Amino acid sequence: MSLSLTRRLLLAGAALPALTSRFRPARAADPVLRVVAPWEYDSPDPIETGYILCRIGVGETLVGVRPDGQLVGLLAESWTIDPDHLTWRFRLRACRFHDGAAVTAADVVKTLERVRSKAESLSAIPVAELRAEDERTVLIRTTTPFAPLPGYLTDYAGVILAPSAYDADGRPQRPIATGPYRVTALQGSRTIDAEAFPDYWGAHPAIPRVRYIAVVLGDTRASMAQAGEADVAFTLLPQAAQAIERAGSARVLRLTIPRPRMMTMNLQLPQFADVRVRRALSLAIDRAGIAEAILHHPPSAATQLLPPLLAGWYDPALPPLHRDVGEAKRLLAEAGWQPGADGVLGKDGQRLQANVLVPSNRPELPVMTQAMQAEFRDIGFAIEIRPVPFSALPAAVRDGSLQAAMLARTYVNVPDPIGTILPDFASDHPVWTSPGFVDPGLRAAVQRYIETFDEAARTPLRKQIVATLQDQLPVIPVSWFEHNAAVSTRLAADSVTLDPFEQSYMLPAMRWA
Amino acid sequence: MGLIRPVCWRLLQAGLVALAVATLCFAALQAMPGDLALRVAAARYGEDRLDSAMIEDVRHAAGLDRPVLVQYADWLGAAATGRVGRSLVTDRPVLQEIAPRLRVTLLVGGLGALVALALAGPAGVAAGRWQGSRLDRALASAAALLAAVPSFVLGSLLVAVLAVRLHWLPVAGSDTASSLVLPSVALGCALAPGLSRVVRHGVAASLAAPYTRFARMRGVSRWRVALAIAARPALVPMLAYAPVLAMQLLEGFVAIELVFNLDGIGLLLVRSLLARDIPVVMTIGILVALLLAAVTAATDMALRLVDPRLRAAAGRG
Repeated sequence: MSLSLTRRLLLAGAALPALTSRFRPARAADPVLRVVAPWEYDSPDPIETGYILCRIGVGETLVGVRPDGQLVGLLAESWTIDPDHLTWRFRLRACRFHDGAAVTAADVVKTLERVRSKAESLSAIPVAELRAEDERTVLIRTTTPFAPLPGYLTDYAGVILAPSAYDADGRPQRPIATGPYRVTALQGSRTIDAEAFPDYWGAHPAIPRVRYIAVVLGDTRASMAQAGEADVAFTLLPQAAQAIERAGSARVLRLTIPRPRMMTMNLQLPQFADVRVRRALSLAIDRAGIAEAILHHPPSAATQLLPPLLAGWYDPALPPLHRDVGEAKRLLAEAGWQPGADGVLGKDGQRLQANVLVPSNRPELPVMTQAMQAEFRDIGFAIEIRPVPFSALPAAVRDGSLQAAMLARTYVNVPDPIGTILPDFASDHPVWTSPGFVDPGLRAAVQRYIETFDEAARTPLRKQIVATLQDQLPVIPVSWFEHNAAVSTRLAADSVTLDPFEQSYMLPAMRWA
Repeated sequence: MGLIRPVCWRLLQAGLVALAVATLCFAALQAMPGDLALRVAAARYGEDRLDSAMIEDVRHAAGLDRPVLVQYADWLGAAATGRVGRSLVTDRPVLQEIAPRLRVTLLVGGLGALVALALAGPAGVAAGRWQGSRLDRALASAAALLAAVPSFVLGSLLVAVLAVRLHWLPVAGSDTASSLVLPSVALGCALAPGLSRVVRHGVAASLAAPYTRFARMRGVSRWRVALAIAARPALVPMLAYAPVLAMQLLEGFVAIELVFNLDGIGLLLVRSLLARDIPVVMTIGILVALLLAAVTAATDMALRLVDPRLRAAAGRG
């Protein structure tokens, strides 16, 4: 009896893989390019989810950006500026929406009019007039010269939608756009199926069908990459990327992108008003150690605000941010801060200490801040770490209660970092960064940069802005960000590129191995 | 006639619970730290793109600048007539946000409950039948071990072994039958330990009862005793456990949805809480309260059918 039972169990066990293989997901023969990323398509409005449409090649803006930072015309085949430096004309390509309708200047104007007050970048353009000059020409007149305007038009909120994409109230309801892929099915907010658009104006995608799957949990994205259920899985945790590489189940591509993790401070407080204190804090941080031990990506250690990838905004001639505890102590002593009984420095009854808000949306930030806490302690600066929801940061900036905070901030909402530098360092009302930082020289340089159309004249302005930020340290950069993706061996290695501007997943260029 | 009064009482209870839950949800959202409008704007536009104007725009458009009591009364008044409004984040009707996700949750939850029954039923019956034996102790240890493993860890283990290593089942999703296997098993495993203990105690108590022993003494066969005499009383604690099981299902679902990337109600609730999406949170709160009230009411009814003592008590009452 027991022998018979054992034999049955063995047979059943042997048959289990065969039975379950019926349910295995299709893999090798599956012609669909499966892209996995954390972002859910939870709204049909490009102001909110246009970045997903752009990244998977469904939506297009007037202007785009290549991975090397060069602007390229997408729906705009070309553009010109009048000698008044105020009037821009964007000439549209002869192309069609996914529903077959021709793209007209009126469609473009309708989209831009709807979104421009609600999108951070587009709303910064000082628009005096926006209209369709003819069937294929969009005219934008600004109130003041605004040289980076084409770059601002890469803002994903400006994805141009077909008239049929809107409901009767003018609200977008369907992703009917102009990109190389068109949507064939939406399953909730997690899955988008798309196919190559036969009437696309440009090169047709090498892989005709694509499925975008939003997977919130990083571990699950990594598991899908390892199990062969994702051809490309974006945004992996450093440990997961290492595990995938070790397993050899997929290749991992990495790129350092312009999203610095940094400490921001309230410069109205006596602790941070003196630039020597800020420099001392910067000198206390072991960036290489943090990048190696916590981020598992040594190239992430920041040497200045923005990484070398942004050639125009990275100045290799600048002395790099580095660790020098002795120099830090000397600077603090020079600034008049003297050690107290407990080792914490003090001056005029003020202790050198601060609460550091650490938003909960980035898991690496608390650990990084703990490492910095120990390093600051070595130079006599005491910090208390306060985990907060990330929304507490702008609230603290606004009500003046901010002492210091850690955050990760992108500088390429538009391809030109001036789009973030302007509100962060040259505005009276910063939302995220150091309140109280006023540098007239920097503000003048930013203003001149915005109004200067001659590239040769802009280069020294960029250098001046970067040098000022490196010298004055209104924020203390700690590390840059690592953009990564696990790529299946089903895909040709040379066909996958990471976009440092995070505007596109470059899907049309991908091809099977 | 006997059923009308308890049904009405249950309905009244459900309504009061729903009102209390809605009030608590609203108060909790208001009491959470951080600017409510900013959270909504960040969820809507992305934190990197926020500026003060956007936040104020959201505050005004969503009516968050009105007095808190007015906001509460407005929503409640509308909800009483079935209009629960639109999501502050996606601007879609709340019911349209919830319905497809509720379907996923109920489907996987139902499958998980079946897995739990399939595991806990035989294990509990065996442990109760051979109470105090090695088998009983072994099953108790296994149940304790399983109960100690969080469903997040269990789910991740199942994925690592059955999906990533053996490639038998998909890692994530809910669009194929095979993709529902792992989440259901993980959920079922999380629920099985508690249920198996309840079954065990029910069976053991029933088998030790005087009426069962009397039947055995009269020469009734063991199987007949088990199926015809002991089974029915043993059902009572299992049925009474149903509301607890339903509550555990709901609690366990967030982790399961996260690990297996299911687009269900649990993650929607978490996301909506983080985004301070008041109408969605309040509607889900009410829905969950009503569901639990329905399960409790159904349990009461079932208990009355199974347990003659309750019917007798109701008759006297």
